[in-house]
Amino acid sequence: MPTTFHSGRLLAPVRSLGVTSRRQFLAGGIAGSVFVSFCSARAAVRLTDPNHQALADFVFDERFEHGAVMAQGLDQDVTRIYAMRGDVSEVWYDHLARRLQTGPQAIGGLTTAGGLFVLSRLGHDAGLRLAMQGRHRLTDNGRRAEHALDAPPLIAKKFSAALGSGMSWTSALQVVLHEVASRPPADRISMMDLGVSDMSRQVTLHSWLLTPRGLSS
Amino acid sequence: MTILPPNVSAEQFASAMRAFEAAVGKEWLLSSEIDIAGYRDPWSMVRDKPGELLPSAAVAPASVDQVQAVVRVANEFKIPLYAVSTGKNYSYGGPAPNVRGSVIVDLKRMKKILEIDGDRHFALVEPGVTYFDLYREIQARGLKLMIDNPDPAWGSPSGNSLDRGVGYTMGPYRDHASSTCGLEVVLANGEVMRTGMGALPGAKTWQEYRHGFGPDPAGLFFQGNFGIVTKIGVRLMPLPEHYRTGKITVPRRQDLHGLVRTVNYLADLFMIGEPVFSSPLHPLMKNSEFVAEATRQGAFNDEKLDQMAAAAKLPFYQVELQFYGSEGTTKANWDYAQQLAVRNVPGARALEGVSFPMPLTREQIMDKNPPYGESAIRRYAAVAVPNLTTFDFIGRHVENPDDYVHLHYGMFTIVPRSAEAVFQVQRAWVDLVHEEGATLVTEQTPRPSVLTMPLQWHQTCFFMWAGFPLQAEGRPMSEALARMLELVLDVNAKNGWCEYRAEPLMQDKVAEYYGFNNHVLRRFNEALKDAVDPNGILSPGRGGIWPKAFRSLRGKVGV
Repeated sequence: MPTTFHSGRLLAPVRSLGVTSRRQFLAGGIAGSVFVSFCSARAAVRLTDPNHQALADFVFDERFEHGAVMAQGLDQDVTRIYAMRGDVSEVWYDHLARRLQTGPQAIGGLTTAGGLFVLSRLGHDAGLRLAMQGRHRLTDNGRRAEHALDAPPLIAKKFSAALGSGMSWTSALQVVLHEVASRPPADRISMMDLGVSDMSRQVTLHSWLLTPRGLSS
Repeated sequence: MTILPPNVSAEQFASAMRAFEAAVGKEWLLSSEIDIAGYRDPWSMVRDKPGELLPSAAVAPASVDQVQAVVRVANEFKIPLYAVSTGKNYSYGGPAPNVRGSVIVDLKRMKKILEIDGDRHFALVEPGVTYFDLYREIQARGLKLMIDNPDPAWGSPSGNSLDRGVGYTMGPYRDHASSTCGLEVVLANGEVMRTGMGALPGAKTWQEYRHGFGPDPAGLFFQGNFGIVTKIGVRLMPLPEHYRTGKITVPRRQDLHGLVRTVNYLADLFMIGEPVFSSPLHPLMKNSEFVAEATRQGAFNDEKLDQMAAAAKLPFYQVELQFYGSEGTTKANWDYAQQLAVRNVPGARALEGVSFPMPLTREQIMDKNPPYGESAIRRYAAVAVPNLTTFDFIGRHVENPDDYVHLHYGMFTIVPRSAEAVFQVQRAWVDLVHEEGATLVTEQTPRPSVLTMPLQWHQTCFFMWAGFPLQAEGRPMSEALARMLELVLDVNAKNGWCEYRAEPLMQDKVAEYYGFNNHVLRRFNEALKDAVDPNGILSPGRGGIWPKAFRSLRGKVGV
């Protein structure tokens, strides 16, 4: 069962909720996925250390400010950050799949349910397994959020403690992603079940981490 | 929890796993609970129930030799296999097998594009090659070719064609099974067979003449279980110079006869791509008086319905046409389509669509101001650019504020390509809702009505869809909903209609209706199955065909 939390720190309102038509959205996506950031020196050193697993890539849906906030925070710690808008095709086929051909790596993200559904299955084909998943139900026009975390118990506890200390949930999530990415591939969670809708009438974002399967899993 | 194949002990299974591992390598034997979770049907009607169609393990061979080795192991230990290319047809069960405990043969690593011919218009690919892969390779080589992909496009030409999937361009290419040409198959005894001209050593025409000489068994491998396809030839459309659309509307309900006659004529002369029928009257479904008439039990009052459409200043039905060719020929065909429509339906009106040189730019696909509101998803499909935008309709968010669920579970009924048949389906399904309290969703409408329209994915027939959204507050695929699917099947069969495709849980039920002459077709197929696969190891139950070793499971899938 996921562990649930609540956070109430203020964030900037989610932009243009409910006013953008699907067609406008698709038009807005013309530019395709955006390659935001390359590897920082610190992250590059960490990634070349065979004894240290690390979060190598981070994907976020740029229609939600929370993803951009996380991306900014992660910028110094992961190699590549990808912004996308709904359709993950280009991020996956042009970037992630090609990189995975050179070796397994951990990929984290903050997307919609659809983005997670597609990437978790494409990731499974490429030898990745879901190691953490969070659901972040936005309320009060995105200013507040309710969280449910599927993660190793110690990690969930750290997330809760971080929220309790006043840290924003996006910052707390960064900690979680790094923590889980650096663990051996032992703790796994089941793939996302899409058979049941979130009937809360609220927007829900999904955080997730895919890590290399490892032969023992 | 360890899942075992039927009639296989834990010790035998452990021995088999060691043999599979030797065949494909440790890395590619997938047997942990988390590993096999990826092979679950995410929307299974029996999820978490004892009969859920979970595999016992999966193996991912990288070559034909490894596929042969896997088949030999399965024969030795009498273990049922279930082959998938990418396993992404989630509306039809995804990679979940017909028999719980089967070992999935995941062909995703067989990703070679063996040949693409830009002048003779075909490709030869392995089963793990996806539509994305083929599209990108064509672009990379700068070839003037066009694929025809399903939506979403993360599946493979092999898997989608073998399941008789469909696309959205010109008729001969939309029917993916019919646009294949030449198969290579690993048979149940481990031998490799090639169909058509492929049987001729050194053949130069394997992807150009599908029949070869003598009986052609290629059809046995479509929705079948007679072999594991390891290579498939795919006919490709040359990239047209130009793409054009136009819409024709008709004012009255009975005008659908003339409209369908017009479209059939144009389609069979290969002048149009996929026609998209719909009704502009959907806004009236917010009007209770219109709803009462549009869903009236027993008989529709066409005169009254026509009056309501006229009062709203809306046509009753419409069709969007796609034209592929040169700028001149697409214009000429569109002009001719308008003339023909007016000849057949005096009140017909034409609306100009788009006119673009091919290939379309991303901006043209994403057109901010489409002439009559067609979606980018629709445009992507018509010009065969693979994408996964469909999945953006999962969950509530900024672009999906009403949590509209695009993913479906249901059945596509094959009906005659006539307005009369469309009206009969509307009648039958509307009455079913009234009589049985069924809660069906149909194409473009939240319930059966006079607005329920056909799909023309295959050029030669109509498909009409009845189903349910895949997401709901509780587990949607309850026994009550399964019963509704059975009710639709039953009503359809009484009218001479049936489904063309089904997920494993429904395959026996659908096959049961194909029972002419005491099920001679099924008996014939099963006699062949027993002869060429005596241990019944290849996908037992698929397509309703049960080998002797597993025949007792007929009708018990998911139980």
